Amino acid sequence: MAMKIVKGFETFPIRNKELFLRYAIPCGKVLVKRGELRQEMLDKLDRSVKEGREIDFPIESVFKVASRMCTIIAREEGKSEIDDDVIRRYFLFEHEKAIKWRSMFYPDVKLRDCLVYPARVMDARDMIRLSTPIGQKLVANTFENDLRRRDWVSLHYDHISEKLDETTARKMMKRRV
Amino acid sequence: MCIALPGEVISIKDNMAKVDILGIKRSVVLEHLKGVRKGDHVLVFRDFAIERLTKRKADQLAKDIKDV
Repeated sequence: MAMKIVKGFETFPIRNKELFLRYAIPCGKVLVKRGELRQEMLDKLDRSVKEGREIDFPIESVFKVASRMCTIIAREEGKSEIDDDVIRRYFLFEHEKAIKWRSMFYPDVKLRDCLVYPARVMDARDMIRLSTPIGQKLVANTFENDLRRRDWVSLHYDHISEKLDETTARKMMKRRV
Repeated sequence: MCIALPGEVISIKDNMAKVDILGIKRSVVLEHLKGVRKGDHVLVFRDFAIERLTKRKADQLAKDIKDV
């Protein structure tokens, strides 16, 4: 996989585009609102992930902030590509630090929804009912099939991104924003 | 992606820049973004400059950011 250098920034390749998109797609509506991504393209990416299709779209150029920050994290870890650990470190843990940093500039603008939350499945029969640190949520959007009661998952906006192991979920529960 | 903020580079020393972000001056790492000059507008994520912006784009982002 080749690195991409765009206007002075060398972005590392993303090994697992599907995992990256599971976390990035829920943010996509912000890009649509800003005119940086078309809704049809966001819907297409969403379907591709849910149906397990190959992703041939240059996601690094659309989800620029996330892919560039993942590159910086990968570099810090001595890697030359964005692997699964880097994706999870960025979305599950670095977001929190960034939101704290951002609140110095915009203390009145709350970005709680931007955080990825750990959640526990309480009921998965029809809509999925989750217990999260910010209260119970009823969710219909999921990138993860075959959910069962007591499973741990990650929740980004109104999407379930993936199943989590209990250790990671409990580590996320300790975050404070 | 809604977390990064636009700012203007007011000085550069080695791989660090002083960036004015909404009137607050912060030290920002330039290591990952090549070719940044004084007066450029950049997108900052925590302490890292990650993208050069046109002034128009920076102004637009600063305006949009409150609507997120």
